[in-house]
Amino acid sequence: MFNTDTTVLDTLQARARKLAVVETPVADEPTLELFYFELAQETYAVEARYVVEVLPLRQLTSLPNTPDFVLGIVGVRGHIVSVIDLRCFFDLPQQGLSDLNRIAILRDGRMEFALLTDRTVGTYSLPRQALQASQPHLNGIRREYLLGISDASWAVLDAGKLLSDSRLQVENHA
Amino acid sequence: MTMQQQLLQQRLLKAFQQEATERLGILRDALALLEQQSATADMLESMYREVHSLKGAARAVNALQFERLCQKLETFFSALKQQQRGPGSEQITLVNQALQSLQRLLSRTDEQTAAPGDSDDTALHTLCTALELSCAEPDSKVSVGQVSVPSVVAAMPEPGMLRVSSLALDQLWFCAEDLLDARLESAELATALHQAQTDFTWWRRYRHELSAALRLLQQPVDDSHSVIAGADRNSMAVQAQHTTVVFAQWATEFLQQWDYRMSQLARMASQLAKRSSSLEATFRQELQQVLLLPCTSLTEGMPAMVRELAQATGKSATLLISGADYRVDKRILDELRSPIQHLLRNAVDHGIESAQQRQVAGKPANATLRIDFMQLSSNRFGLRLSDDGQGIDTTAVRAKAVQQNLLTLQQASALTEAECCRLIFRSGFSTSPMLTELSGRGLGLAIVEEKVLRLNGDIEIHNHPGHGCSFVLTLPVSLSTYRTLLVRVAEQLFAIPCQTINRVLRMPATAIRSVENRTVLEIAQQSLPLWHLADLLQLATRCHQPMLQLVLVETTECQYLLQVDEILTDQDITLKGLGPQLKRVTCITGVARLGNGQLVPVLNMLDLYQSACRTDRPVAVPLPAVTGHRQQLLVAEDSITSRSLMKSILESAGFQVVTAVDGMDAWQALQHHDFAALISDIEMPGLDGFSLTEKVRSDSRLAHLPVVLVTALQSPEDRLRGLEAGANAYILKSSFDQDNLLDILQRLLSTEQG
Repeated sequence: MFNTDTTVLDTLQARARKLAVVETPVADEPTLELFYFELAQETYAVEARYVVEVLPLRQLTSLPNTPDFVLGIVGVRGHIVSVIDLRCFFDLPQQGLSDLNRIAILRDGRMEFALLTDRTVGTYSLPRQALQASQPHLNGIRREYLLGISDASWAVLDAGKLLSDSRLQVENHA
Repeated sequence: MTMQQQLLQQRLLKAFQQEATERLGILRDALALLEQQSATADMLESMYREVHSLKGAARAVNALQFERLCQKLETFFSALKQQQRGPGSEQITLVNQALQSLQRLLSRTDEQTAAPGDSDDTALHTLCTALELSCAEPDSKVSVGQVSVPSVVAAMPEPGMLRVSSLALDQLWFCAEDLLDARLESAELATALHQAQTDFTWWRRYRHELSAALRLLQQPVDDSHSVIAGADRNSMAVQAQHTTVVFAQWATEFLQQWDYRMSQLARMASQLAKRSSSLEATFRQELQQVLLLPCTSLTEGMPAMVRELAQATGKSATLLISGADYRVDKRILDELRSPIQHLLRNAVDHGIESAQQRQVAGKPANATLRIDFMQLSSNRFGLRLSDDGQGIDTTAVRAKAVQQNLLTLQQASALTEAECCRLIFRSGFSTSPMLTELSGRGLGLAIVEEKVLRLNGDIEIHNHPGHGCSFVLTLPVSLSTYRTLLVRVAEQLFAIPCQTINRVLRMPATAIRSVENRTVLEIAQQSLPLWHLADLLQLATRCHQPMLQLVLVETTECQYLLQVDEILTDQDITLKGLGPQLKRVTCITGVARLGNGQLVPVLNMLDLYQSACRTDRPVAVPLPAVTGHRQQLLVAEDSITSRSLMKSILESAGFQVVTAVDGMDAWQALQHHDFAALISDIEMPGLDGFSLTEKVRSDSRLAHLPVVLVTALQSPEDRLRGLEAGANAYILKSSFDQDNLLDILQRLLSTEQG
């Protein structure tokens, strides 16, 4: 019942050739593995290679004499990890109540701390080129820690910079 | 070479580097000693063996040049041994050069470049020839001493001993911590299962009533033929009744089985909990033993370091070590390394004089530093670091303190000698007129003291002007023998190191006096300053108690009273750091983990005293306690941050707040206490907010309890569902506002009363 006439085949093949797009070699393109999380009704991302572990927040111990952005400490398998509230560090207006149920532990060779998040979204890879530099809606201190804006206009934070910044570290002298 | 062979080669090389670094360190230390005192046969023998083992190790990884130089050294030591003579000073220099070039060769093995530069090659060749010549050289008159002195060269490993990398031990320790978590979780599981099993008693109570009811229901089904007229109309109902009866019978049996299974599971879980608890305790104890290392692991490399430091400043000094086979917790030795190195640097730089000055003073040109380890009690040991230098010039220290505005002239002259010596621990204090490369930045000794205090240790100075100075460190043998007192203040727990506590006491609030704007309390005819811990830590104010709970703090630096809300118990803890992000937090030394997994900050009593001296806020004169009925609210919320935020909002509005971590927890609390209102999240594990509200409404006692749902669920359907369930108010988290919450509560509570 199908017409196998050669002209039809030719037409189909011609169409196929026209529609065919040469596949861009994905492997060669540098991509960023990003880890997304929500914080105060906004979505942020950091490079996934810095994220060691995501855990529910339980048994937080707050510490006196620490800046507001240090929420406290938690024990993770024998290690002590401090929990940082980026809302305070970024001077974001404290509006609404967020769930803040999960922490994402960031680590590089020397530094380790956990970020407080409302919820974690997951990891996606993003072509490096798709990362945009414009940051029209971001202001204040956040701008300094911005790696770029993702295609879904989520703020991608520079975890390496957060980890190495001395402003995020606490060293009081007596 | 295949991938595997390459990997193997790399592993071998790494092992070689590790071993060679250690052996070279031992040889350098031994050489440093040889330079100052005559050689003994024992020492030559052990140096010979070290070189021999080094040669063997080098051959195994095919490090040819390294091996060649080792071989020359071996021949050299073997010649010394046979001729029964020690090395002359020229020979020592030569051996030193050889050791240095071995070190250089070793650092180069990293780069996989087997072909070193020509200049190195010739230098190496010259060195080898010199060593050869030196062996034959007969005119060295240094004889071998007959008295055997304790050798600094490490003995050969005892049979049955294993070498384990310290990193692996650290990992094991983390595993032990992990095991604690597992233990706690299994105990939690056992409790939950036990609770579930007890809940079956409710079922057992209804079981007989149910089976009686079932029998009754079964009868009409059997007699159905007598109701012929309504058979059709009733057949549906009869069918339904039949189904219900069958299901009820099945459910009864099913529940009965589960009752049994639950009791089995509960029993197994409690056995598991017990077993993991004892396993965890044993593992921890055993590991504690494994972690005890001889103090030699601390002092390794130090004799060589002292010799090199002295040479760098144009002085001459030897470090002698005794009692170093005493075993101490590895983690304490790790922490001690940098303070001891600092004290040694300080002694070489400031303590000992130049050779001329020493000769004028009638001392041997070569200075002697000593490190002696002593066992003081079953769980504490002492480390005495002494030198035979000039001692601390207390006059200069006083002058410097005045010059740096640390003290007034009167204060400085009023100091005792001992107090004066302690000044050198002040941060920023250095008597050295110029910054040398070794020390003099004035921060060092302050850090030494802090580290020792952090280890729950103590440091004392014994100064003998003109004859030297010694630092005596008293330290715990094991980190787990850190004894602390747990106290509660502003609803938080803190641990105070027992080392700093004289005693704890209760005093009536009326005993407080105010002297010159300071609050004091008279204890044993002595007026002691008093501060409330909450004030010093800037925590929320507390309620006033008629009886004060006090801790009398006493260290070499200070004596004062601390008021706390509650004194709980004393407890052995393991002190942990606060993690890399919190490098140093004022008043907090570290953190302890209690048996239930809770983390408790450990206080730094010296910091606390200093910040107390800065704050002028005295303990408020006690006011009569505010009486009056405070309404009690229940907050159910699984998010810890939201929970504590709501708690603090409601508490500052004058409510008493009880919190629950989920719906089930809240339901239990509602059973046992009366609350004025319930504020609940919706999305919670187990019983959610909707179901909790429904349960509340269906309970006759709670039917009129005001319920406020606070939630992230924004849709109108959810809102409707909340209201259908019987909630009185529905607040969105996204537009949460504390005034709004308080306003709603006020309205609900007033209608409730009215």
